[in-house]
Amino acid sequence: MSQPVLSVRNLNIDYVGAEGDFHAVKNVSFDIAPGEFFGLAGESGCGKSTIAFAISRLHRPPALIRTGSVIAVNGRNVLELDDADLRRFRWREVAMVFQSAMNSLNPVLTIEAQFYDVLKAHGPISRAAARERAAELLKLVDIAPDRLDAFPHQCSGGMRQRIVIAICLALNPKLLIMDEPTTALDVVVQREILQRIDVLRKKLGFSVLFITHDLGLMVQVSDRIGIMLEGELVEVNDAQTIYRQPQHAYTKRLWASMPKLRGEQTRLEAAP
Amino acid sequence: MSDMTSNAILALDNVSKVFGRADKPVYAARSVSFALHPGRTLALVGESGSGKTTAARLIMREYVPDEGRLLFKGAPMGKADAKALKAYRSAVQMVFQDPFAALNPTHTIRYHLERPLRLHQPDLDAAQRKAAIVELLERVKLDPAQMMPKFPHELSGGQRQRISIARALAVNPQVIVADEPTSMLDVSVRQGILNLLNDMKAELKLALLYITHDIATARYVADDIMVMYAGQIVEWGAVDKVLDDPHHPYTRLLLSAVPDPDRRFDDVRFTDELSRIDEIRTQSALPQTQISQVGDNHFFRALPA
Repeated sequence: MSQPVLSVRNLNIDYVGAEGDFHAVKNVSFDIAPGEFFGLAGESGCGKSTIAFAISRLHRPPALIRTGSVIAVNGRNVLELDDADLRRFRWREVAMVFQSAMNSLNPVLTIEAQFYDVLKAHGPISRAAARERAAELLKLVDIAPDRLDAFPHQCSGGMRQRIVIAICLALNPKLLIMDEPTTALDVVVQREILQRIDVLRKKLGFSVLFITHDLGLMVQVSDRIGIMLEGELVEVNDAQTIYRQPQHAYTKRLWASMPKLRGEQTRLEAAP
Repeated sequence: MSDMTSNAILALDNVSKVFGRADKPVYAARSVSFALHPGRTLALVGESGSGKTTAARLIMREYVPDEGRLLFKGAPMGKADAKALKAYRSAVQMVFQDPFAALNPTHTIRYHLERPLRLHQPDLDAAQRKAAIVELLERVKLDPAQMMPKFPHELSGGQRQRISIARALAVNPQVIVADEPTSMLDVSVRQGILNLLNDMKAELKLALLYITHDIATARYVADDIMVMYAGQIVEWGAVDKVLDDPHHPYTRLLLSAVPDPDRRFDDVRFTDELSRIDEIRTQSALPQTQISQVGDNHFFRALPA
């Protein structure tokens, strides 16, 4: 097998507090292969977003990554990068779509200006060339290039989310991290966006780390899935196994607490 | 809907609500008719902007219909007097989407439940009110002694939503409108709230309007379902009939987009509607006056030819 794009080994993250530390991520290890769509599922507070932030080194105190942890992207330990390397590394190797990414666009700049911002920060580029590249990127996410001169408030929520994804793809990252990218959107828009991502990763070859609490959605789109419970990665398997033969008791309980779309409906009890 | 029967407690009869300028009207509700019955749950599903919350606001009398009538036990509410309005307000209660915003952060849980009791049942003395609060908290499966002195920020999202439900129940309502009551909660917590709604309906013979964009939970709690798009109810009927045999193209689109672990994204058998999203949306937004009946309790609006 080729070298994984992302390799996490013995990752331990604490939230340091006055009355003792909270161990948010406990000894987590997993790999993501080139072009792979990897899902990370779990409830609020299980540590999945903490991992996502740590991969781009976007975690802030009181979060503290313990020594001995390794986060390797294309073989390079992200935790050892200096500030200049880190700046080059972000966006170019790993790009991140945040939970309410559609609100992360600058409301007083046009869409075109926000593309230019990213492109010029990572290398000399003329405004005209940047505009051309931006138009190309918008087409990737099914948005007409004439939207470049629009302001964020003139675009719908789904459109803004797709614009953020297009900006994330501007530097051809090897790994796209999406933390609950469609939670605030409707099912139809959610489907449109994720289907587009699925097509693009096959076309452009990037890997995806997809974080959500919607297990059903995750099974539909992911190749492999990791299930997190209270900071631990309790099960990692291919998506169909997670769905059809879940191994861990918690994975089984998660499925048991989800209402079904068809077939017999029994009273479900809440997972503890 | 023509099948409105006499035991309906609350009904919208051909109601329209228009926003925007006269030359560019936006129909948030277009000829909407439905009825709520004691001991039954009606789910209203659709995407954001489809008019679900407008329907809730019409029922809560926050909006006045531009056309059509709101009927309470058969009587039009348009010309209700003050006494009838007070009766209506205690009969129809709402549970909101955001349990963090629905409670006043400066007051205790006891205050939140005492207030509606004071206003709607002024005859109760202090001991009776306290007994009523204890009963309400037990009904929503919370520990009364522990909960009463607490403030909202000390509670989890699920606990807060239970308090919202207890507060709605405090005035002995006959109808509860729940607008996305679980969308901000975790899956495991969500289930407890859905079970609570199911129990309330059965034990108290409540008429429940459950507004959501989550079709799987709609199937779990509802007897009947309505699918709304661009202000129109495009398909309605018994929940299993509508979900198993959808007739309106928008219902089919919505169902094909619902997260479903049995259908991989690359499964080409289920991509027909998804390849025509824009077309279906444009067509479904047109006024559709022709209603077709599929079966006993299953109707849809036919697209204009």
